[in-house]
Amino acid sequence: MPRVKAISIHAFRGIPDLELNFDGKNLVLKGENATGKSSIVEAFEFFFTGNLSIFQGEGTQSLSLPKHAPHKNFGKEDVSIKVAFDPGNIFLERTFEVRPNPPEPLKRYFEAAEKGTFVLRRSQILKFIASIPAERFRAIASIIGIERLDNVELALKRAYEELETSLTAKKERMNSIFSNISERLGENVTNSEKALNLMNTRLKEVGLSPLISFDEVNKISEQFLTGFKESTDLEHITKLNEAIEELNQFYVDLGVIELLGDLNSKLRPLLEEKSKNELRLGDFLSIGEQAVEKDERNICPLCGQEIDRQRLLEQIKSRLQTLRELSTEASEVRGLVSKIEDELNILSGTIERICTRLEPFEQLAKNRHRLKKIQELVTKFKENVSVARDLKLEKEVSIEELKQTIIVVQKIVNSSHAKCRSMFKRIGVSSDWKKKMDLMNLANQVSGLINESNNIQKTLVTEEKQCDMAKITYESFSETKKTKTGEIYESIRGNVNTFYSTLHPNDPHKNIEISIAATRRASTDLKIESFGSIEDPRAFASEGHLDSLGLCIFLGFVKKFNEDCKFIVLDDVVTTIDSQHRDLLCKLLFEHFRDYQLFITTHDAIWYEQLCAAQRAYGISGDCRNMEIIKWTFETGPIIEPYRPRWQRIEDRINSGDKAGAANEGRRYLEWLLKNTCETMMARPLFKMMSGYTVADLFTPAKARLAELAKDPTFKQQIDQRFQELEATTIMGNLLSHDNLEAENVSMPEVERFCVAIHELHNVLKCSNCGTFLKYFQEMKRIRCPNSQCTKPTEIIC
Amino acid sequence: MSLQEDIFEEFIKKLEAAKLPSKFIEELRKLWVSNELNSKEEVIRVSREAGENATSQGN
Repeated sequence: MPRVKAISIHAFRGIPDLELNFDGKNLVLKGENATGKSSIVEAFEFFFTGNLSIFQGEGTQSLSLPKHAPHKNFGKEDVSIKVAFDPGNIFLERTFEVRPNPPEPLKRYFEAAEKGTFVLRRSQILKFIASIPAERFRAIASIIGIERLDNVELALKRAYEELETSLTAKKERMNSIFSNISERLGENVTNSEKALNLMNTRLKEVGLSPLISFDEVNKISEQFLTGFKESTDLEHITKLNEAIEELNQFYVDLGVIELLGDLNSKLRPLLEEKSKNELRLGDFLSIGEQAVEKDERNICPLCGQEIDRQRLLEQIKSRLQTLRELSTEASEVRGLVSKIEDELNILSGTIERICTRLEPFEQLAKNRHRLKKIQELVTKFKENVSVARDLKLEKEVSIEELKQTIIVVQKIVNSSHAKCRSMFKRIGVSSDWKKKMDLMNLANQVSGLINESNNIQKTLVTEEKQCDMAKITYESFSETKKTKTGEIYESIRGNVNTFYSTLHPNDPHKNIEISIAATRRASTDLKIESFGSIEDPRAFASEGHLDSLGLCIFLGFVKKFNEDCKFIVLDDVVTTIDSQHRDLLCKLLFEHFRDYQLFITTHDAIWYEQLCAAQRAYGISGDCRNMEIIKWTFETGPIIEPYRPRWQRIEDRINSGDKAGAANEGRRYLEWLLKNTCETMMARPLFKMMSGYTVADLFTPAKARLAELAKDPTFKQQIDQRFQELEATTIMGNLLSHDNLEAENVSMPEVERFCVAIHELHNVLKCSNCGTFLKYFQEMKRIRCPNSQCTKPTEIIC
Repeated sequence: MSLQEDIFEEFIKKLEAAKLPSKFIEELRKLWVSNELNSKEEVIRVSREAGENATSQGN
């Protein structure tokens, strides 16, 4: 398996120039805040991925890789990250222009690393735990490499929805046609055969020949009219008859009013100010997207600043998708809008046909004119509804407006119908002919509706097949994705639980479950068993527990999916985890990830010392490089030195006559020793809410607790002697009365005596075999070496 | 085979088991290869064509 041997960073973030060689070993890097640790982590991320995740996501719009990644004294053309790999001592380089071209042995390593999932930062842990299920899914999808499938699933879903909406509208129209026919024929009619039978019964009753099919209606109707009255203007009668037929056929499906009600209730939450703002932002982003796409320069068309064009486009697309596409409500609104549009088109078409039929009659010109106006209103109303498809409406659609329009149309139709009948009467038609005429009209109306239903029926079969195929396609894809992802979750669950129980062996929180959210697309639920019930981990777990849970999930996924790139970067991830659990984290990393190359950064001196001690305890010191950033300036970047044990550093300062430096190191050493003692021996310093603990806060409780526990005479004597020696130094007196050491007032021998006293106290509190800090085990009533790997652990009976 | 490809192949097997027309499955595969299966319009196009073919062949 390839190992990173060294990294050379030039002109990147807080680093003008840096060579860091760690010979393919694990690297533990300590540095105060803002000394360049994260710049080194980012250099690795940029090298492998060509991107920086800290510049991605919400709130990073003003950040740009070409502008903010180079060191302030350099431009993007100066940036260069070179990494050397073993075996083979292969050197590869990443710049803004050139991406690394890995040779065959490194190809798979690179493919895995390119996903960028080898880095874990604390901010990512919190984001993962606290995020909504959909975002959590996206984070996991990125680790397991299935982001593309999410977009495919969405496209298949929307395609199916669109075909289904069209099919449903047609089926509803068919129902509406047969309910119209049933109303006209006075019986429930569900097919054309029944309509034909009923029609023929009526025709026979008035002595007219029955129809073989509805196609004959026009022909028979014409024959009937020809024989009706030779002396009468046949054309006039025909046109009048056609007008009456059309008016008779007038029918509005009032289901459209219900659809409008549904639309408004779906629209309501989307029209709230927050949603509207997001929609406006969506519009703006769409325009911005077009502008950036058209302009091929890497310049923002809005502010003229330099941008990473490709990344900006990706961000806009992703934001637009979040704003619009993924919303189920939006998808339902689109479906309703289509149905309402279809209904309004039918209404508009009916009005148009009536107007055409009324045109030859001067007496009906006024009605025709009014209907034309109404048709315009219906068209405008439809346009207004159509706007709702893109969720751009200012307010809800007015149902009352459409209701009133329909009432007015109905009135005009009734009035026109009455006038036509009256005109027909004036022509002088006998009641017998009138009956026949009415029946011919009815036959025409039913025939028109049957023709329409036949036309729909023809396309319905095809559309049903299309819709079925789209449905099977979407459901098969969704189910396969869900099942496979579920299998993956299941396969890492064991590891996640093992890791978590390694960190929290006696914890009330257990049985972590990561599962696909059953009712949502592309969502991940996270549950944990706490105090007998299964809950979201945030319900009961502390911040430290949540951090370690996120870490375990990350490590679980990495173990399964980064098999080809065994390189893990943990960037300052233990901030909220206490000392005891950090020891267990060392166990987790050094036992379960022994074959990985670890790069751990920290600003925390205690955690750093723990990691160094754990390497000795686990016998892997030779596999690790421990380094410290001792200084950082803007011009020099981080200055890194190999780790030296604290005592060695103090001795160096004493030997070089650096009194103030030695005294300061000694003070920090004592502070660390007392903190560790209080924690491992379960001492009880006074609780402090806001500020950190000083030597003055910890000294007496640590001393008292050790005196309380030390029953073994030799151990007790050693402890007493060391504390006496420590208290006898002038510096100690200063530390207990002031927060700050006044090193100027003490002599070098006094500083040395103080430091030696601390070191000797530390030696008493270490395992004589492996050097691990001793710990009090309450159940065993013993002070003991906590290192499970120690072959001859120190043990003191209390 | 990457996980994405594995999931896609499993999905294709499901479509074959559901006896969807082979031409339709072939078209979906083409869209996958050309990275266009994330386009709603393309999915509708191949679904419509497949539906029309099935009707004309009396399936």
